[in-house]
Amino acid sequence: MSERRPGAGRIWAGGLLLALLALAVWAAPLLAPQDPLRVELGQRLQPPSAAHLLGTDQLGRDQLSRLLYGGRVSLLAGLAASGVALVLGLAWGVGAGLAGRTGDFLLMRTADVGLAFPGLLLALVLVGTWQGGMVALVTALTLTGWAWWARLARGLIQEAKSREYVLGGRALGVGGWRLLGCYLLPQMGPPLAVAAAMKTGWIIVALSALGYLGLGIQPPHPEWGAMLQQSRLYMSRAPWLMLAPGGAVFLVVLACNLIAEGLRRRWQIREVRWL
Amino acid sequence: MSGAPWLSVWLARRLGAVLLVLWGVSLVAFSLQIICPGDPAELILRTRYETPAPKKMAQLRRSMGLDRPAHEQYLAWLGRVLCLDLGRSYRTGEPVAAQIAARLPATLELALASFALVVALSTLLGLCAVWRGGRWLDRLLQPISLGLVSLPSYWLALLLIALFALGLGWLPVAGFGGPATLVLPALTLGLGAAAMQGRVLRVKVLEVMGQDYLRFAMAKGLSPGRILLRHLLPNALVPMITLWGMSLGSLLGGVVVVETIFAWPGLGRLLVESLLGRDLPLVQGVVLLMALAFVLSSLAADLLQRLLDPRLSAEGSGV
Amino acid sequence: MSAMELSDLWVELPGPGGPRSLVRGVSLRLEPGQVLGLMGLSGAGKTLTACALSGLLPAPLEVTRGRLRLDGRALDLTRPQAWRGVRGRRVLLLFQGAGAALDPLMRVGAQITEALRQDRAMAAAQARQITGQALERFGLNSDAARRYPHQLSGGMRRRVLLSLAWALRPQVLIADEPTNGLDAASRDEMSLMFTQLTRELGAGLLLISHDLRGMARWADHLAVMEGGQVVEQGRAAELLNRPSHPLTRSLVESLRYLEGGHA
Repeated sequence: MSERRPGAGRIWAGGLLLALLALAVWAAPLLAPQDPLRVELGQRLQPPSAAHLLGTDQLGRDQLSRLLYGGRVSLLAGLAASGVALVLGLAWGVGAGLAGRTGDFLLMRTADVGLAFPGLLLALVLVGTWQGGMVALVTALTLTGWAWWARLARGLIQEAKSREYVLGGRALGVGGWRLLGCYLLPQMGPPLAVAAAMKTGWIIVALSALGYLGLGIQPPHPEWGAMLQQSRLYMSRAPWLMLAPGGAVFLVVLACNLIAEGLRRRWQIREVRWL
Repeated sequence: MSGAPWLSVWLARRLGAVLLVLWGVSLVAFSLQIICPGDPAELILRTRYETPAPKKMAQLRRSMGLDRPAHEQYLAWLGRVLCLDLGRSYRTGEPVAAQIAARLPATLELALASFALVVALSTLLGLCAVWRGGRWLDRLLQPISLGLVSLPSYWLALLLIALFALGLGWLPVAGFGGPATLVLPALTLGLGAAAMQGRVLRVKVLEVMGQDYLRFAMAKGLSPGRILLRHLLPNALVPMITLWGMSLGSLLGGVVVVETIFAWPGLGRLLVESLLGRDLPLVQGVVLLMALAFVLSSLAADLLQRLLDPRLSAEGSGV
Repeated sequence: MSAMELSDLWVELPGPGGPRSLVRGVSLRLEPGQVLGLMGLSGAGKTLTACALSGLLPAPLEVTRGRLRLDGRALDLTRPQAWRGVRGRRVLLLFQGAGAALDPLMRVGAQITEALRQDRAMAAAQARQITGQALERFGLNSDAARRYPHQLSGGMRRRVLLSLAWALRPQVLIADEPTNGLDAASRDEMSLMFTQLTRELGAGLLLISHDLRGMARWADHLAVMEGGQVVEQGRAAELLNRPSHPLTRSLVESLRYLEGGHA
């Protein structure tokens, strides 16, 4: 099976994992045994038991419930930021690739500014100074990600433009939107899909990293990164607390990377380099 | 045919682009002042535990130039920044540049240690694919490296602390000073990037292995060691230089999380402290410095690659 | 005594449904200073035979049977370690497409020198001197040694490879499509240089080519391959005059057509 369709196993495994996680998080109100915000100081730092499958945190809140509800923020904000950044960056990059020299120059130099901030630095300072909650969070992550997409899209469209059948199409008089829609964009699909899977994983990591630093979703609302940060204080007394939130982020990212790797093998695309 | 003039033309164009980018970065850093809610004057007075009386605030605003239009403020700020005057911290009143200088060595130590780890480990990972006895290792390492790439650094840090500090007691949980405290932060910062680049290098190595010049090096009867050192490694590693240069920069960005976890007294923690304390000049200073380091390390890597690859240093095109 | 005698070479591709034989019992004989032309359609197993003759088969392929006699010594081709000290020194394989055979990051002189030094533990100065002579022998000035491959034209890169062969002085030279991608005039020039090199070194040359006219002109002996087997071999003149196998006959016919077309 794996010989006929390379990467199929990885795509399926990653997709299934992601679907399960999304389903669990979506059904949080049904699955969660407790209100994630309910404080029971008598039940502080309980190890996993039948009543609390993943134990309780320093305020006696049920860890499993917090995990499920917390995932809603991570997944939803992550997907939103990833999607918006993709659309914005794609439009930007395609615009640059099709614009004349001056337009290309202006658009790409702007994107370069976005790329000049390493890692999640830009998101970090935007969220930190703006302090606008969820909207600020998604906006900041979008602003961090779009430039990367713009550069990728521009590179891909430049490559697509030089393909022989595109030149042939232009020689036949195909132009404008039709050239873009029927000749150029379809070619960019596979590498974009690989990159999208990878980048979504990255954004979800960045989101929880912000939470860990205390700059994301504000307490008492659960968020995976913030939960991890709190567990840090109780590492020797309640080591189980750090396993679940970190493991959840890890599984989401692993699923994304599995899908990316599978797609990459399926379409035989070389490793996408610019992370 | 000589490469030198082309190279200087290329370098001049790249430097121009870098200056343009840095100007954009300065705009972003300055605009933090605008998106920051609240009045800076009030902020300063509050962090100094003074009552923000209207008269005091007006006086402070005037002395800081906050009553002037935004573009005038920006030009004045940019002028000061270009003279390396990054202002004074809202909280302590100390010069920002001095505070950054005090924190920079710790961050450099951490970033360079992880960078060495990234380069060494990714090379080893990449070479496993071609070492004859390493086939099984390669097969084993593929899923492991995918796992490492997927590990969020903050969780990796906690796992490493739980295992090596709390569990085995080999290394300190956190802190700064001496090589023992460096191990866990450097591992946390470097492992993911090393796995990522090991994967890229592995593809590159396999690609070079399939090239005619490598097979011809074998046909010439060269020893495996010489083929590895003189033909395979240079051809596989030279394209990696750009990637490594970028990773040196992004390690500087990654220190934010790692330094916070390990209580490492570097720039990253300074940044988080300033963000939480709403100390805008410090935030701006650190952001400017990190972006500058990132852009310059990328440029240096590009330059190095051009110097090492005769095909690139001879061609003039391609900025 | 012949320069090289290959007997009963089998190359197989292991697969789930049992191994697939791609070269089946090929035997060839090379005389010193003479050219053996190996002809056949694409996929006949010519290149595989060439690769097997220097132990450079790509990974899943393997030699399952085959012996090679090189000046009185017998090599068991199924053992890869048999090639140590032989490959490059006594048997040299030159690849298709000379452009890609040189390392892009190394000066071409160094690529000849390193082969010399590896082989004979020669002093650096002496190796450089021989490299210079070799390049000169094929009409490249000493300045060429300091160039990188991308700075040389395709024809110059082919001359570099010839210089390498001249410097290494192998007993057996295998050239796989040395004239690929050249125009007719350069093809003749290249074939001439190969033949001269063979005579000068007293080496046996196994020449693989699609260029029928060149083969007819330069080869002393010819062998025709089809489906992994040698279907006919003999002295070039006899084989071309009285082809017996249908493939040989059709090759000879197309050759006549070509010659006629040019006349």
